[in-house]
Amino acid sequence: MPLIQELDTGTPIRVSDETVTLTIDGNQVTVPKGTSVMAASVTMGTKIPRLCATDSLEAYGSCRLCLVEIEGRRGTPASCTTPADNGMVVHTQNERLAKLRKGVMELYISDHPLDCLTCSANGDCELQDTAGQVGLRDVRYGYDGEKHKQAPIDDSNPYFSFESSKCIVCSRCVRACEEVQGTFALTIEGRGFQSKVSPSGTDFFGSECVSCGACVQACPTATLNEKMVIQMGHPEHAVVTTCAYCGVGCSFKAEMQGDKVVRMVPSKDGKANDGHSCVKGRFAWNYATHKDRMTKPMIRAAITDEWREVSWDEAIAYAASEFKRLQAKYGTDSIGGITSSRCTNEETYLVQKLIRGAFGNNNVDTCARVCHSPTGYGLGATLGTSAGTQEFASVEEADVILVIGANPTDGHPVFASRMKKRLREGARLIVADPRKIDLVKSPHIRADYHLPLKPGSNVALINAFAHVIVTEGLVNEAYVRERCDLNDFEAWARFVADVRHSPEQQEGVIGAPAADVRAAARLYATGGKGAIFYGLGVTEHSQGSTMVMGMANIAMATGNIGGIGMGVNPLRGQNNVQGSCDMGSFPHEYPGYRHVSDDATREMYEALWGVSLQRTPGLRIPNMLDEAVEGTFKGLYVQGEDIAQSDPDTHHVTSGLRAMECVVVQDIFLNETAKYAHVFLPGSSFLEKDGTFTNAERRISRVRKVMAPLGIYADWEATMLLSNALGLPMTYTHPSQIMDEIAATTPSFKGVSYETLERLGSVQWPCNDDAPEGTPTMHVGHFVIGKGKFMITEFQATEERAGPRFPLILTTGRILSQYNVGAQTRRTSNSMWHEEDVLEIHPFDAELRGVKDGDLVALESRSGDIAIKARISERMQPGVVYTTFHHAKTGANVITTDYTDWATNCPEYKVTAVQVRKTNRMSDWQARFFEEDVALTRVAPKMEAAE
Amino acid sequence: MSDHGDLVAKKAAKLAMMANQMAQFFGSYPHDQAIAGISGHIVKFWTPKMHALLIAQAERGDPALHPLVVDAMLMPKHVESPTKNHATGDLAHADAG
Repeated sequence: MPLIQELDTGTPIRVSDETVTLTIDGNQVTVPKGTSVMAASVTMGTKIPRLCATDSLEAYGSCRLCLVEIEGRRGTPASCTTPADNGMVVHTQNERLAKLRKGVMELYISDHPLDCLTCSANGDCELQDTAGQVGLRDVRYGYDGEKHKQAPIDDSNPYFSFESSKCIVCSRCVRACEEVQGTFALTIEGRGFQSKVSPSGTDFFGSECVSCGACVQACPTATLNEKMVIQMGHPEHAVVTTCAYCGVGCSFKAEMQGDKVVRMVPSKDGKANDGHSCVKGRFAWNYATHKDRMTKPMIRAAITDEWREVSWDEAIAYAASEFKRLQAKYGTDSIGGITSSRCTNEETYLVQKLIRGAFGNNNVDTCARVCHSPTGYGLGATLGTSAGTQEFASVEEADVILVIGANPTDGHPVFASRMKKRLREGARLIVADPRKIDLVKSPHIRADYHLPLKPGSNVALINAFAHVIVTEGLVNEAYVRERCDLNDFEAWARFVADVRHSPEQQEGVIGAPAADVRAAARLYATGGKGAIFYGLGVTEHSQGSTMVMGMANIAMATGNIGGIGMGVNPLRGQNNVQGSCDMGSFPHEYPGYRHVSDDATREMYEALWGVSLQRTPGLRIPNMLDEAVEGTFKGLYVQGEDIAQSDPDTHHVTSGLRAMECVVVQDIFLNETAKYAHVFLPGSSFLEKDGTFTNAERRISRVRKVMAPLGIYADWEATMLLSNALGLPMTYTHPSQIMDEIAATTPSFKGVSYETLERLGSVQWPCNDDAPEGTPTMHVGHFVIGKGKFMITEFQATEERAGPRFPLILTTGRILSQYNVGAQTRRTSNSMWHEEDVLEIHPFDAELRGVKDGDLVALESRSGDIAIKARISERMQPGVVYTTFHHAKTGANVITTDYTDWATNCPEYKVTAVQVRKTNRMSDWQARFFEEDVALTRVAPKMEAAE
Repeated sequence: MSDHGDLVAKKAAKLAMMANQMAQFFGSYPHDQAIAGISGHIVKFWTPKMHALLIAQAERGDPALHPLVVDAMLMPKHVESPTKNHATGDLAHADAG
C-alpha cells in the first residue's frame, strides 16, 4: 500500500443537525453549520493555501495565506476563521488573492533556510508545497535582513529534534500541545520578530512535554521532525495497524521503507484515538528489532543447564513429548497454559483451543486474572456483560466524570487527552484516588473533588455515595422502575440507607472528608450525564468485584447506563486484555463467556474440533502455582506473559515454576519466566503478524503484518505446530480463517470478519444480525441481563492491614513512559524518563525514618523485602507509599502478597502492609536475582560446522 | 509436621480463606440465597478437585470455615444464587453479548 495521504480539511468539520449551502468558485457546496469556508472548500476539492491551519486544531487565522473574497463583504477574510453561511458566494482564486498570498509567502521564505534538497522534510513539507502552490518565484526582500537561521537545534528528546531555524511560528505545535494533548508544555516566547516556540524556557526533555508527538505531527516544516526520518529519509509505503501497548488500542500508520519501520503515525481514521498518540505507541516501537530479540527455538533439560538452540521441529517435538509424558505420568490435569493479552484474538483463541482440545483440560488462564477479572465478574452480575458500556468518544458528552482508581494521563494517555478536552469544555470532575494524580490539578484542569481515600476503602466509599443518593432522594426512580429488578433495588436501597454507610460514619475508614464525599455524590447524581472511568485501583483488591458491582449500582440508580456520555468504563491495561477474555481464556468459559458446563456450546466445539471436552472448570493461574508447589501440576505453556515478574508474591510464583518439569515460554524476549523454562519458542511482535486486537471499548481492530517474523513463525503458527504435534490438527493458513471460526461459533462475534473490518475500519462487539455494524453503547433500552440487578455490597476491610511491624501501606501502579513489566519499553529510549523504579513516600513518613530524597531504602512486607531508591513526594498521603513494577531487577512483586479478590482471585496489588527503612545494600532476593540473571539465561555457544 | 502434611494444611487454609471471603460477600443475603451463592460460585469457578477438598473440610468440621461455607457445602439448595447470571442453572445465557 502506498503512503496514505489523509484528507486535511484545514479546520474541523463540525457536527450539526443543520446544514448551510454556499457557492465556492461557482460550485454549490453544503456543509454542517459551523464549518469554515476553508473546510467547505476542501470538501468540494479545492485546497486554499494555508500554513497555520490543520483540521486537528481550531482555526487560528495567523498565517494570512488562506485569504478569500466573499461577495458582499469587504476585504479578504481568512477562510479558516470564517464560518460558511447560507447563500455565501466565495472566490478562492483570482489575481488579487494570488498577489496577496505570494507577498505573504515571500516574507516567510525571506527568513527560512533554503536547504530544501538536504532538509529532512524535503518532499513532506507544507511550506515547500505552499510555496509551490502560490507560484513563488522570487523573494523581493532578499536574504540579508535579520533572521533566525543560526538558532540552535534542540536534540534533547530521544525521538524528535527541534530545529527552530526552520520554524515559521505558525503555532500549530503550541496549539496541538494545548488542544490535542492538553499538556500546555509549549508556548510562544517573545514578541514580534523575536517570537519563537519554546518548551517554556528549557529544552524539550527537561520540559513538561510528554512526547506524545502531536506537535511533530502538526508541524508543517522540518522544525519538529522524527529523528528516524532525519536518519533514514522518508517512508515509501504505509500499513494501517493497531498499537500493542495499552487498552486504548490506537490505530497507527506504520510508515515503512521496505520492511523497515521509519515511523508510526497515528491514523486519523482510528476511532479509538482520533489521530492522537502517546510516547509509547508513537515512538517506543524499536524494541521489535532490539538486539535482545530471541529468534531461535531453544531447549534444555533443567533450568540450570545452558540453553541449546535447536530447530523448530526439534523444539516442538520436545515440548509435545514432554507434555505427553507428564500427562501419562501425572494425569490429564497436570498441565495447562496461559494465553496472552498482548497477542491477537486469533492467537489467544488458538491457545485456549489447544489447551481444551489437545491438553484435554480447562487449565487455561490469562493475565486478566491479575488485572480486570473483577470487571468481568462485577459487570456480568449486575448488567449481564463482561465489558465496558461505552465507546471512548462518549466522554465528549459527559457532564460529570468520576475517575476511580485510575491514572489515565499515565496509563491511558490518549484517552486522557480526550477526557481533558471535555473537562476544559466544562465537564465536572471527581477523582477518587489515594494519590494526588495529575488529573487532580494540571494546566486548565482542576478536580471539583479529590477524594484521597485510604487504599482498601473503595467499597466503603461507593456505599457512602449510594447512601447519599438514596437518602437524599437522588435516585432516578423512573429509570429504576423501568429498567431494573425492583426487589433487588429495594433490598439494596434499604442496605445503603443504613446510617452506618453514611460518609460521616465512614469518614475514618475512607479517609476523605465526609463533606467532600457527600458533595461529590450529589454532583455525580445531579450534575447531568455521569460517566465512571476506573482502573486497577478498583479491581486489584480483595473486594475488587464488590467494588465493580458498587459502581454499577450507583450508575443504575442514577440512570447513568444505556446512553452516550455516561456508563461504567473499565480502562483496560493491556492492548488485548478485553479480547483475551472474549476469546475464552478463562478456565471456566469458552469464547463469548459461555460456561464450560453449557452442553450446547461444549457439544458444538466437540463436533467442530473432533475431541471430547471437559465440562468442569480448570485451574486459574494461582491455583496452577499452588498445585505445582504441591507437586500435582507439572507443565505449563506460556504465550506472551511474564508471570515471574508481573504476578504477586514472586517467591510463590517462582517456587511453582521451579517445581514444574516442563515450562514452555513463547515470547519475543528471554523474559523472567523463561529463567524457569525448559523450552523457549521465539515469539513475534505485533509488526510481524496479522490478526486483531480488542480494546477497552470492545473495539475490534486489525493488526497487520509489516515485516516477516524474526523467528520464522508468527505466534499463531507456533501454536498450530504444537497443537499438531500433540494430535489436535490445526490447518489455518491465515488468521482470517481463525476469525471466521470464532465468528461461526460465538454469537457476539457473528458478524465479525476481516471483510467487515476492512469495510468499517473497526467494529465494537456485539456485532451480529441485530447490530451488523457493532454496538458502540451497551444496554440501550434494556440491560443484557434483562432487568438491571442491584447487588448488596457490604464493605469488608482487607485482612492485609498496617500494624506495628508493617505500619505503611504500599500501593503499586505504572507511569507514562513504561509499560507493564517493561519488557518492551525498557528496550527503548523511554527509559530516559524512568530508568528505575522508585518508592514515592510522603515527606512526613520520610522524615520519621530519616530518609532523604534519593536514599536507598529497604521495603519490607511479610512476603519479602527489596531495596529501592526513595523519592519524597507530596502526591502521597501520609501512611501510603507507592512504586511501579516496570523493572525486573526491582522485584516489586517480591513485596506483594497472596491476598486476592473474593470472586476472581485477582491479586490485591494495591494494598500491602510494609515498613521502610534506610539501607545500604540490595536485598537477598535482589542479590540472587542478579546471580540468576546470568546463571539461568546462559545460551550454549554455537558449534562450528565441521570442515 | 511432614512436608506433605504442611502442604495439605496450607491448601486447606487457602481454600478456607477463599471460601470464607465468599461467605463475607454472600452473607449480606438471606441464608438460603447466601449458601446458594457460595455453592454456585464454587461450582462455577473452582475445579472439582478443589470443590471436593472443601466439602471434605466441611464434613470433618474444619473450624476455620465460615458457618455459611459449611452450610453451602453440606446443605441442599432450594433457591437461586443472588448472582443468578453466575449460577449454574443459567449459564447457557451468560454470553457476553
